[in-house]
Amino acid sequence: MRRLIAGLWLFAACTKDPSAGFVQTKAEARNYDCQRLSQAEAHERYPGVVPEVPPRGTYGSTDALICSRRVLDWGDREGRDEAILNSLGEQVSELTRLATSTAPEHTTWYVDSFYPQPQVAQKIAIAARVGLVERGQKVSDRVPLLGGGDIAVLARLPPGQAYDLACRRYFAESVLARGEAFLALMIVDARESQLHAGVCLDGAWRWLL
Amino acid sequence: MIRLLVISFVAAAMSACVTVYQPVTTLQRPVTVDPGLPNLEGLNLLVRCVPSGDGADQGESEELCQNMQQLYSNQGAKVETEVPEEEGGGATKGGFEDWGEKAKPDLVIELRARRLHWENSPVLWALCYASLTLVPAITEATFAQDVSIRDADGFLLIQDTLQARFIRYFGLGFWAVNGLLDLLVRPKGQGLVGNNHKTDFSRDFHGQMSQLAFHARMRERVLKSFEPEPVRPVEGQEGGPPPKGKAKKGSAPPVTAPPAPPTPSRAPLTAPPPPPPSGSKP
Amino acid sequence: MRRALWLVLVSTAAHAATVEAPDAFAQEVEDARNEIAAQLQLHAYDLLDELVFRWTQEPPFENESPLVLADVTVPVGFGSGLQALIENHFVSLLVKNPRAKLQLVHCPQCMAMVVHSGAKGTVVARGVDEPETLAKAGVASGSRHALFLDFEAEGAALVLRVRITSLEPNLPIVYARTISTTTASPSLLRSEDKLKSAAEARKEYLDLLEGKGLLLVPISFAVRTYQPNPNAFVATAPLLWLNVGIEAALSQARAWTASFSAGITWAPESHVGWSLTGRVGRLLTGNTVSLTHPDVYAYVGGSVISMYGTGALAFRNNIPTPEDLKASTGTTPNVIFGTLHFGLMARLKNRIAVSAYIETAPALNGSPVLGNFIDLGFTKLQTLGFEVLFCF
Repeated sequence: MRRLIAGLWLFAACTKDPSAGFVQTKAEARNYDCQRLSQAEAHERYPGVVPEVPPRGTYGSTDALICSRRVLDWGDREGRDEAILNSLGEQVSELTRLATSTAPEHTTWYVDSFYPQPQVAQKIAIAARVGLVERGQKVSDRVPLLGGGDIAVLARLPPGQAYDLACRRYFAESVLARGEAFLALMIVDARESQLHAGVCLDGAWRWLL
Repeated sequence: MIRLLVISFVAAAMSACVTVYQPVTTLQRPVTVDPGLPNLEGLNLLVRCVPSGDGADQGESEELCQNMQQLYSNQGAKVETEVPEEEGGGATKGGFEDWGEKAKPDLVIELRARRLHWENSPVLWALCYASLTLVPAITEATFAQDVSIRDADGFLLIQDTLQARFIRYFGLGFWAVNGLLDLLVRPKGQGLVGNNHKTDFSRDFHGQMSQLAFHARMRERVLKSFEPEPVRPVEGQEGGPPPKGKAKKGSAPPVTAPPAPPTPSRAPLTAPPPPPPSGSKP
Repeated sequence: MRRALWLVLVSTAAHAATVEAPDAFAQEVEDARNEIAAQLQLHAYDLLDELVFRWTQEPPFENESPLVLADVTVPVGFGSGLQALIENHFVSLLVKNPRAKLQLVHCPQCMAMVVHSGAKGTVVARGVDEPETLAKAGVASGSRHALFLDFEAEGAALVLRVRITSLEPNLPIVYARTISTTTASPSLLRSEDKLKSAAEARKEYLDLLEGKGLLLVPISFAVRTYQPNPNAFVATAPLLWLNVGIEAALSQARAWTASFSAGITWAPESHVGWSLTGRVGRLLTGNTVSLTHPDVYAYVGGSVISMYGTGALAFRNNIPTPEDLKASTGTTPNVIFGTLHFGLMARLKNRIAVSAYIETAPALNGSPVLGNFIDLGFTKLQTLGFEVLFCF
């Protein structure tokens, strides 16, 4: 029906189609997150927009394309930051789920993230802390720190060696003790936009994902 | 004269198609790898393009696999392709289980296409013809490409779905107005008429496929705790496997004169040093 | 010389345009950012309302506890303006909802930067991040917990992550929640002192959307104008009508409507007329009426019009002769005819509407007095109508 009206109005924008057209550019059309839902499901979520399925059914199958406008347009923030923040909840949830299965009960967790942009690093760390608490874990808001000399050495090592050495140093320096685990989230290459995680437990480093 | 005008009009009307591409899911995500750089150097890849009824037939799957082979070869990978004849998975002829140890793929990329939505109103087509294509007929389709990437042992590294929507407007009026807008109003790169939809979709699709492959590679390295990658002898050199005399079933035929990729760096791919810890709050 | 002057003028204009463009672009970016911040603010308020509502149902502490609002972080890319608005709204919510059992306190030592030197080195941090320092300095405010609010834009969703940290040396997190929304769902805009659950707010929204009842009473003032026939020596003046009727919604949220109305027209010494009109209308601007934008309906209908008086003579298929006029003396000429019309109506919140329509009276196709606005061949459209409606 909407398509018919669009045809009759020739070039009207009354159908609010999210694709590019007369009143919407291609760049604007990319700022929608869309999904296809059945009409019944779409009516349940958006009763003011999608009509109810008629009791006698419809001729042919009908579905709805539900598009949500992004809070911030692609390009407003740096690409890698935006890609990570876009799926922050999802990625952190998976990593915290894996982390909780590696440590015994009553372990106290410390969390930190290693990411070039400090604001984004903070967001990642906060998401992980909150995620762990919601999974019933004991979490400290403190961040275990090493001395400046240790950090200077670690910064020169590749990630495969750096995190393992850092873990041993945490325990050597009594920054972490038995019954305490450190969850680190990071990227290992500047070209990737996915998070990795590892756990430091009892002086041993283990990569999760 | 009138006959000539009518024929010209009909010819113009028949070619008056405007296809609009809209990325629905994932395709609009920013890409942080450059597909022109050797991001996958030294990797053996197997790309499987599985035909499915509505999504992609046998011919389209083969074309897709050729496309992917070109894309990953440009990034330094050694790529073999496979297009199963029937959907159903399992061990197929030429699958990686039959490969020799030295040529075993590091990553197996499987692509399956699905058609999620199709709309083509006969009423609009009737109106279109009745109005001599001033009222456009609209055909809409939404496709999904399921991508799964596994390592040599079959462990699932990456799984994602790329969805795109294509809306084709057939009508002289719609085509003419958009053509004028492209010419006079829309900035460069924002045009709708012509093959812009193909260019945009290719850019997005290739970018995301490159990114997913790179992510899979990094995830594989992490899960192996950054073990040093084995040095593979090159085909035809001493100690290496002999060059294959016959192309494997489903392998892409040699393409003629592809665009020359940038010269890959000789240095092995190493990760940059880790950034400083976030430490205390800013 | 003139060409040189022209070139100078063109180059100057181009330079001015170039200088203006960056300023205009920057202004556009700023406007867009302000608009996004405004929308974000509403959804952030929604999340805070939901958070405090949950606390009124399940307080995080058994007894009323003093709490320091340690940090409010906004989405990456936004500044302190949004942060201040969020803080103010949150403080207002807690003050108006004592059932949450949280009392915000001011702790200057918690928020100040402190320098702590020890064996491991010198650390510069805020008080909340260095509880050892707080313990030594003494916590005069009596606060034992710190609250952190973090907002982040993740795709189409705004996500709030809350945590409450105990101000002990190890800073254990004693409470944490994640609440999310999407920018597509309308802001619930709950009242601060009468928080209700999301389900209750949604029900209110649905009731408002679907309307209080099926029936409306439209009262309209209409003008019917007639095109004069070029060959006629008399023209028909526009007729003013007053219509009262009843309108019913045929489907959900007034997507289809039907109405029936009765109208009257009168001009002194000329005519009196009445009409009965039936219409069916369809909403064009969506499938439900909008609470914030005008709704546009297309309708078709038919009328039966009866005219009395000398003015009615214009609505005939023959020219009134002097005998007709003589015969009409002492009697009241009467003409009855039917019409069909279709038009468009723009209506705002089911209260006020304007409408325009075009009408045909098939029985008057041969009228020597009435001209045609549009001649379709098989019928002629003689009347153009305009209406203003008030709905009750």
